[in-house]
This record gives sequence, structure tokens and C-alpha cells, in this order.
Amino acid sequence: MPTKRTTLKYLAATGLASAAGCATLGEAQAKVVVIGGGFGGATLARTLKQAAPTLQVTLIEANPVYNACPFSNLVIGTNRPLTAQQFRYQNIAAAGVEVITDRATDIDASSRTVSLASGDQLNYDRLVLAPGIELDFEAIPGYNRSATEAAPHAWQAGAQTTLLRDQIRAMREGGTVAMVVPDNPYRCPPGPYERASLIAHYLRVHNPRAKLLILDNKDNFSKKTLFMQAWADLFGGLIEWQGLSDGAAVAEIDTTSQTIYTDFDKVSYDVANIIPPQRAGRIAQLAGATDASGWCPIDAASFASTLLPNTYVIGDAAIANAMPKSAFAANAQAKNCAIQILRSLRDLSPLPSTMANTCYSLVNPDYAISVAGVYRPQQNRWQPIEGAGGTSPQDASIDQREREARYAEAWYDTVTQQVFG
Amino acid sequence: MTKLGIAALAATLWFPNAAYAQVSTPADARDADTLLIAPCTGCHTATSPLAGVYDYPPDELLALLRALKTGERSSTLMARLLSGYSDADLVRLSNALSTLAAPSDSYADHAN
Repeated sequence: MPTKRTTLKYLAATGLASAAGCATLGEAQAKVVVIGGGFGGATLARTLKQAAPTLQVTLIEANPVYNACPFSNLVIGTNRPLTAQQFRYQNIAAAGVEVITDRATDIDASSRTVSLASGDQLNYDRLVLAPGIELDFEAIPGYNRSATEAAPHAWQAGAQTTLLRDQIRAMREGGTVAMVVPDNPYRCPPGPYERASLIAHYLRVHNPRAKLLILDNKDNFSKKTLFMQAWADLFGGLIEWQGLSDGAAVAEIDTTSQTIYTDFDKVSYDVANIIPPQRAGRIAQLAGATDASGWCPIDAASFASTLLPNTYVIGDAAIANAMPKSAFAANAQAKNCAIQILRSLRDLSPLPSTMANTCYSLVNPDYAISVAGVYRPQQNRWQPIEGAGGTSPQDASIDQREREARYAEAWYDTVTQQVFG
Repeated sequence: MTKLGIAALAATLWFPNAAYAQVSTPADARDADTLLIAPCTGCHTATSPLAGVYDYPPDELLALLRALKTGERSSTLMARLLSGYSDADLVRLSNALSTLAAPSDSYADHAN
């Protein structure tokens, strides 16, 4: 139950308590529609409503239950239940946000109207697109939507997560798990390697003769040196990584014969986890907010779409340059964008600010590594600040790795409480 | 005109005030501080098990942030993050984060 105390805590938590002075008439009557109830959209809807209670804020989300991706690799590799990833929207609704469980099907920017699958239409003064990703089921021959039962992607958490977990647990002794990883950009750059680690963590105990082969469509990846070192230290030769230069680019997948064809070779697998290339969530494409890359170009400092008026894009769907597609970034972008929207409603220009990101990756439940970045909008791009950020040190003690694991848990508990609690 | 060209032109029409604001009013300054702490509050909240920045008076918090930035006080992560912030930023951060802890009855006390 939201009490006065918890409201205060929430305001303190988001930092927006003092941000909404000087409400104008226009702001008081304004309608903001947010599409997508993930870390970006849910944060934005809630913080905007808290900062400016007279605003009419509507959150449109197709699913009544949100399955969080961060920490979902623990569901695959440990006994963590999927319910630890699941959140509902009742506390966001109780905070005064109108939550509509429906799918946005069209946007008309000229009449500022969102159409829903139910047939309803909503008008807006400002629109926020936070639709996350859409998986590209045309990118890898043989890997379409119907192949995801035989070879899960598990890159949108939920039933796919437990499906992959169950296939790994049922795998024959000494079998091979194959992971196919896309080129950049994609959701959660270090995520595939955290997943590989936690699958190896499971196999090492329960199926020690098994192999995990990563076929990567690039040569470098986030925290590569740290992951490689940890894999050698913790899992022996269980994980084999092949990059683009090793000929690992995937040409085709045949889920019937359980074969992955690379440019020069073919690999037989027992369990396959195929993470296909991605683009902005479908509604962003339908709205015309995406460019040829499939992602949404923005004015860096304000997150305003450069293609649609009165529209902002945050989270994985946005082209935020050096800022990665992470839940942490989406949460921070949402708080930034909320201020920029309030300023826009008051006819004030955007105010550029420094942003930061932190991504923890678990190599096992008690061993984590992190990457951090600090960013500034320069030449209308989010550029990293030189000399800041970087990864955990390579020579860190096991005690430091464990502390980072505890901090990772604390981050997850904090951010999910802040957004959904 | 190419599709991209139209988009570029349209973008300039839709954003006639593409120039960004400078901090020139107290309201701007409040917004700037709120923007600055936006990433911090992903981890550091009143209820987080992570270090509660709100428990510190501004001068103590500033001293702590400076010590974390230089490494005088060890950390797993904070030195990497704080090295992206100037000393003037640290002053603003410590003030803004401390202000959030100030007792208050409701949001309405902050408005206007």
C-alpha cells in the first residue's frame, strides 16, 4: 500500500521530488502516453506522474505481467524461480498512472493519436516510445518464430527462459549446448556471456562432460578479457568461444536435424540458444520512428525522436550511441526524459546532462564483474567521457568479485522496487 | 528530395528551438541537479541496501565522493563512475542528493 512514507521514499529514490515546480496551465492539462511497460517506460510513467501529479499519464503495456530480463540468466543456470523476475503494474496504477493492458497498433503523429488493438484511440500531447526490442526472425535462415520452441532465444524473458532452462536440464550426459550470439547492437551487450557462464555453472556440477559452444557473430564483446579469464578459472574447458574471425558467423540453422551451419563448418547440438539480431519494438517501426538501421534516432540530449514530432524514445529502442541497451540505462534515461518532457510542456529548451550506466554480469552466483560508463551529449551523440568508466580490474580479489555479486543483487532489488514496488 | 533529406528538414521544422538551454533560472538549476543525479538513483535510494547517500550531510557526502573518486577510499565501482564527474559536479551531486533526504510532508511542499 502506498503510504505517505513510501511516497516520500519513492520521490527520494527517483530524485524528482523537487523537479516539478512552476506548473503551467498547459502542463496541468497535458496528456502523456507511454508505450511499453519495461524498465524505461514504467520508470518514466511513474516518475512523471510523481513529479507532476496534474499531468494525465497513461501507460500502455500488452502484458499484465512483466518478466524482467536482468537476473533471468540465474533462472536458467540456478534454482532461481521465474517468479523472482515477475512484476505487475498495480503499484504504478496506485501511483496515479492510468495503466492500459493492450497493444498499441498504430500512431498518427499528425492527429496525435494512438490506436489500440481493442479499437480504442488515445490522444496525447507528448508520446513516449519505450517498446524495447523486436527479434528479427528473417535474419538467420531456419530461425523463425516457430523455431523458438525447438531452439529458444530466451532474449525476452518469460516462458522462453524456463524453456531453455528445462532443455538444458534434460540434455543427455556429455551433450553440447550451442549459443548463437548476434553482432552489435543488441539488448544487454554482456548478457550472452553471463548466460554462458551460468549455464556452465550448472553443467559443471550436473553434467560435467557437457560442452558449451558459443558461435559469435563478432570478434570482441563486453568484458571479454574478464569473462575469458573467469571461464578458464572456474569452468576449465567447458566453454568454447568462436568469433567471426574463427568462421563462427552463422549461415543457417536446421532445428530438425539439430544442426547449425557456419560459413565453413557445421555444428551438431543437443540444445541450442539462438539470440537473433534485433531492432526497435514493432510499434516504433509502425509509427515511423525507426531509421534504416531498425532503431530510433533521437536528439541525444532530450531523447526526442528526430522523425516524429512530440515523441520521445527511451531504452533499448533508442539509438543512444555509446550508452548500452541496458535496464540501468533505460531507468536513467527515463528519469532524464521525464524532466525534458516537463520542460517541453513549459516551453523550455532541453537541458543537456551527464548520464551514466552500470552493468553487472554474474559469472556464478557469487562472482560478478561490472562495466561502467559516463556519457555526455556531444555533437548530438551520447559520447563516453574519456578516462571514466571501464571494467572491474583483471587482478581483483575473489572477495571483490563476491562483493560485486552482492551489489548486483542489491541493484536488481533496488531498481525493481523503485519501478514496480 | 531524398527521404532522409525530408526527414532532416522536418526535424529542423519540428524543433525550431533546437538550441539547448543554459542554466539561467532557479528552476533550470533544479532541473539540472535532478538530471545530474538521475543515474545515481538507479542504485542509491532511501531504501536500497546499497550505500544510503541520503544519510549524509552535504559536506560529509562531498568528502566521501571526493575520496571515492581519488581512490583514497576504496570501492569496486564508484571510482570508475566518479572519474567522469568534475569537482563542481561532485558539489552539485552532494547537495542535490542530501536535499532529497530533507523531511517533507508531501510532494505539494516542493511545488512552486
